[in-house]
Amino acid sequence: MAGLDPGGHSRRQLLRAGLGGFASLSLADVLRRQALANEAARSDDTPSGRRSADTAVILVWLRGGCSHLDTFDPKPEAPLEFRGPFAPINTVVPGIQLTELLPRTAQVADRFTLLRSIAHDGGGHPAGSLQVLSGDRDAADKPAPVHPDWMSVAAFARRHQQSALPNYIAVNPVDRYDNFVIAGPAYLGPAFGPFQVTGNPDAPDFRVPNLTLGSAAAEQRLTSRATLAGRLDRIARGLDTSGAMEAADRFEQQALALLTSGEARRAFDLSQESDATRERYGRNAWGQQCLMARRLVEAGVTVVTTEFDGPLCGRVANWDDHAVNHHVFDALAYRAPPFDQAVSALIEDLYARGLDQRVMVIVTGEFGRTPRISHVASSGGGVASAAAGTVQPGRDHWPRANTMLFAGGGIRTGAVIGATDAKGEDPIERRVGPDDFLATIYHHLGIDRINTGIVDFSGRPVLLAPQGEPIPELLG
Amino acid sequence: MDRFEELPRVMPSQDSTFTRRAQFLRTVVAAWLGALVCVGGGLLWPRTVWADAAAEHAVEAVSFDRDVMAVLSKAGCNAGTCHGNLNGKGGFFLSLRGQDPVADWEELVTSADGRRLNRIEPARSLILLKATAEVPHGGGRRFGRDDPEWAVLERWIREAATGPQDAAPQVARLVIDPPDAVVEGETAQVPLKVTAEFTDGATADVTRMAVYEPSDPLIEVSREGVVAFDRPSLTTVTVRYLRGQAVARAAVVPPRSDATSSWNGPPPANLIDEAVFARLRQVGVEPAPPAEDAVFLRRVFLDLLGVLPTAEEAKAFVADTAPDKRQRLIDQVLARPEWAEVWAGIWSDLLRVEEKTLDAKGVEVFHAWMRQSFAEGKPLDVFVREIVAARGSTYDVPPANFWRAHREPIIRGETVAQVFLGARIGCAKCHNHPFDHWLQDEYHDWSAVFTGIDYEIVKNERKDDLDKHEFVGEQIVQLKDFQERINPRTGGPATPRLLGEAGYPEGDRLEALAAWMTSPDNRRFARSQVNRIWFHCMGRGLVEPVDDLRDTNPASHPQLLEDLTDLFIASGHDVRGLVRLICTSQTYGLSSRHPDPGPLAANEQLYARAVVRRRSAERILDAQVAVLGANAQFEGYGEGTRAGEVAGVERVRRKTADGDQFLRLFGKPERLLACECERSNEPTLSQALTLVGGPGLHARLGSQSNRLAQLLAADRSAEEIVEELFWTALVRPPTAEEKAAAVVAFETAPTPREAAEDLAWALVNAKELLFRN
Repeated sequence: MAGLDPGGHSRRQLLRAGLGGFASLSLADVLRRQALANEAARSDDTPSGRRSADTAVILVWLRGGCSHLDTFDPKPEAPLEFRGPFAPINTVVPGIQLTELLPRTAQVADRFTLLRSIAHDGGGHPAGSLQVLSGDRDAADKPAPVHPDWMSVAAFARRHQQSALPNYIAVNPVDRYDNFVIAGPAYLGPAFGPFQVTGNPDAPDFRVPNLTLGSAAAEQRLTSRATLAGRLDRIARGLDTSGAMEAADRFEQQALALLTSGEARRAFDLSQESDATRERYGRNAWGQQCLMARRLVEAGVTVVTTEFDGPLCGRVANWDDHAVNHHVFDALAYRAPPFDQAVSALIEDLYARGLDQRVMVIVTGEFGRTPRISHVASSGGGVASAAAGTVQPGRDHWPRANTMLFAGGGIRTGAVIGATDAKGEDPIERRVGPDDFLATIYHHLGIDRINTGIVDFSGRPVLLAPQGEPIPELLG
Repeated sequence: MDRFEELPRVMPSQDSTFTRRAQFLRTVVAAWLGALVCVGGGLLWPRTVWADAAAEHAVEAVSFDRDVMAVLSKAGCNAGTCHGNLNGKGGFFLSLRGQDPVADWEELVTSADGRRLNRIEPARSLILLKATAEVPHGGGRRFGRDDPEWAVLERWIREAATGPQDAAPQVARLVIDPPDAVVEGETAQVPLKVTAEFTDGATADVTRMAVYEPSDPLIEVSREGVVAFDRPSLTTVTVRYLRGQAVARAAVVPPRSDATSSWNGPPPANLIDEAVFARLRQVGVEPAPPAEDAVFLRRVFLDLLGVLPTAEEAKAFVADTAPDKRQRLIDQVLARPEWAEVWAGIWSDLLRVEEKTLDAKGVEVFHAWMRQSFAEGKPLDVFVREIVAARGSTYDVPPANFWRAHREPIIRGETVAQVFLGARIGCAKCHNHPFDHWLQDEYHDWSAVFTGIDYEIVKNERKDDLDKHEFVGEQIVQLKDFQERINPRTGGPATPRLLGEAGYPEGDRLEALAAWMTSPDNRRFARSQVNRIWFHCMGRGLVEPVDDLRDTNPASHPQLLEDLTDLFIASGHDVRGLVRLICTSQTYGLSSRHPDPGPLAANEQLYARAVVRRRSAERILDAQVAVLGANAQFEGYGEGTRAGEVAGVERVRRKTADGDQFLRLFGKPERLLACECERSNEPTLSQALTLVGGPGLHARLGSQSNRLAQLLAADRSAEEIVEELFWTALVRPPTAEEKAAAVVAFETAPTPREAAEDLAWALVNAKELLFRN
């Protein structure tokens, strides 16, 4: 497993060699490693030409939970009360079928691998999300994360990598489910949360919030203000041994660069892309979110999350297709075209631009949906939902089985890992849990699960995904 | 061949006859192999290896309780990151840090079909092969064949792998020599000797088998207990041996010239200085010079009141030549209403004063009650007694909101211990506390104390039916009988018991709890509150983290903490008095700049200079507002409300104004945890974007009725405007260079207004203002 090693710095290598192999750590050991890593990173002023840890992950998050049976895990032979109306179709990979909702994704099946056997026991949206994103093992919902999600962990692990861009950016953030916070840095602290890009990047007047001053004159003015401030702000930086002042300076420089330098901001600027490319992704929120995600990882961002929700989902603006919310099949048919287009374009583009080794794309939500179809009265009419009181089909929460899609990341693609039973209810082979999923991501990002040096609020050393192992088929 | 009777006691892991038969066959085969090996054993055994290394143990048989358990800790096998993890590692589970010898013995001897031990050929035992990395081991090589760890385990296996004894003596005390070493040199090796005193009166030198954990993560302690400093530094070393823990301090200080006695610190103003300066003298560091007047004034205002002084107040203070002006300033400041507001804010963070559970009215009355309590000088023990013993309507009895916010016995127990007693007992929920002495049973017995607090929910107009944490409406906190709680370790009921005590007193339960907790005999209470008060004055606790007081986490100045605790108790728990004492010390008033660039002068725990910290969210926003003379908005609060006056977190649900957003972004806590640690003063990119180009600042800078507009309308010269803005923002006049640079900006900007805005922008973003210094 590759260590966390941002520069080929000899001092660091020496330190690592000196400590090598000892995986059993006391708290003091953890802190010691962290301190040594900090020292090594600080002394690493000149970035070396080659980065060993430049891998990245794009997470496409289907908030609410997508029906696996109707998309990636078709069960045409299941009894009527289980199988949906969507016929299976062949993909370019013999033996792998998707449903007819995903024709374009089927055409790039040689470039992804499906994991059809992820299971956990977080049956509510908050619990399910926290299990998948932060490895929390609690089956009960809670108002906010107790442990940091993997995205924040990655931001923390890569904190010494200097870049004009933040290393964790959320394009339409994964952050809340109603009043519940489903993702966040918890005890890592807010510095490791995402830089959030909100709004619809397909809108003609879209601007990245906080990143646009509006005019060249305003940018010029900010530059002159910063120059003036530099003459007045002469407090000695060494005074603060906690490093906070140093960090504040670094973030201020980053903020000024984002606001005034075209280079950093250009990563967010979709008008740099050809019309053909923008069309290929789909001229809608999801398509352009994915395109921005691709631009950001290309510009060196480590983690980009992008949530597929909002009006493209239908009436309740997410994938939570209980019959009270949506007619599940109408809803899936409604959102399939933009979904199919955006995801297939992202995968295709990843390979076309040679990002397929470095960048891993993951598409998933917090859980699958109940294979046995329920029939309950709608609570309200709207897009993909009949008028209130009308009985319509729905599917409920199903943490016992779900399908995740993995592309890029140097993995062997065109494959399926695991399988569910004939009704799609439970994995019958290669059952994996959230910790395996997380361990796979950490492996791709070169994050040492033992030596990353995270301690929680109580000072206890925290292991990352302690119950998991990287999924062998998904190792690049 | 009685050894055969000691052959692996195979635990039938499966019931099938086949398996049992297979195991029987395996046993027979092993026995015959064993016999063969035994015949040649004398030749094959590397006896001399252990015989030398373990010579001191050679007389007695290896004791599982003492020797083997020590090895499992020493080699790190039972660490929380390794097999001591709740999930074990590689299917091998040990109790965390060896707290359950019986379970560990069973795990070693009988689990995994007993294949971890090889009685026939002990050296080929899996645990030894793994530990020496002779077979692949995720944890790497823990020791070698010629180490005493190996010898102990090998011999234990050979001596029939005996198990724990009920009557085995326990460690009564660990003695470390030297307890407080100060060594001169640029580098140094400080050997520690650890002696264990057992309950049967025996003593043993356990230096080689004790576990060492230094507080300075860059310092290494060898297996033999030698603390290696590669530069001058201070550290404490926590030493563990079996269930015994002790702490030693060690320091390496730069070699001093002969003139060691020429220490030139200022005369101490009070007992705080005496203690701090004594420690500085011990390590050969002088205190920094006193902070300049302006820096001191800014520090006092922002630390104690949360607001900046006005330009007039600042000028008057600097112009004052009386020698006692700093003491007088402290007295004046402590009489101001903002002082009580700051303390109400501190306790609101701790006691989870937020609207989701308390609702807006509960937040308002609880916060107002706290502010009033501090304003009137209510003794802190009374304050805490009123909270803990409160019951009744959360609208009519403000402190009853404490129980409204804490709805589970476990959470109540943890919060009361952490906030009022400085004890983080949470670890003991699942296992005995690894760094402290709390046992799992004590945790659950303490939790049982907090059963029977119930609520009559008069009304609940919650908006989100799914969210069980949300309440809108009055509640009545009621006290009922103790409810049964199960202790998960025993499976039986927990017995309500005060933390660390034998039982529970008679009488009104909450009154009894409150009285016990705040009694002068319970030094934990006073000590933890002294530490908290010190933390909020000095920027760093004598004990850090501020609510984690335990033997293995000693104070930087242990005697000072005890002396202040005595004084605090004797004063009748007078918060204001203790703040006055701290802030009138020389130590509080030192500059944050130290002429000595060395690591010791920079070491915060010596207090050789003032601690530098990013200011809190409320202080930064209120300073920005005050400097610019244009308000921030807080949803649900009136125009002109300061951030420091905001009682809760989110008064109007899911609705925030620019001020609310600023506070959240800059780390004001959501108040879901009863811990100072929930507040983050860590800088982030989003904060920087807000400070540099956020809409709130933009509006305040551009306001046509702000301070800049007034200054410009008054027709003052550029120099005067520059002077005034410096005094207002940084509480000092500009230096000549600063003044020149700012005046040039006025001359070159298209309009004076633009120049004033640019200068104000630079000043509110100055690190001098954003950081305590």
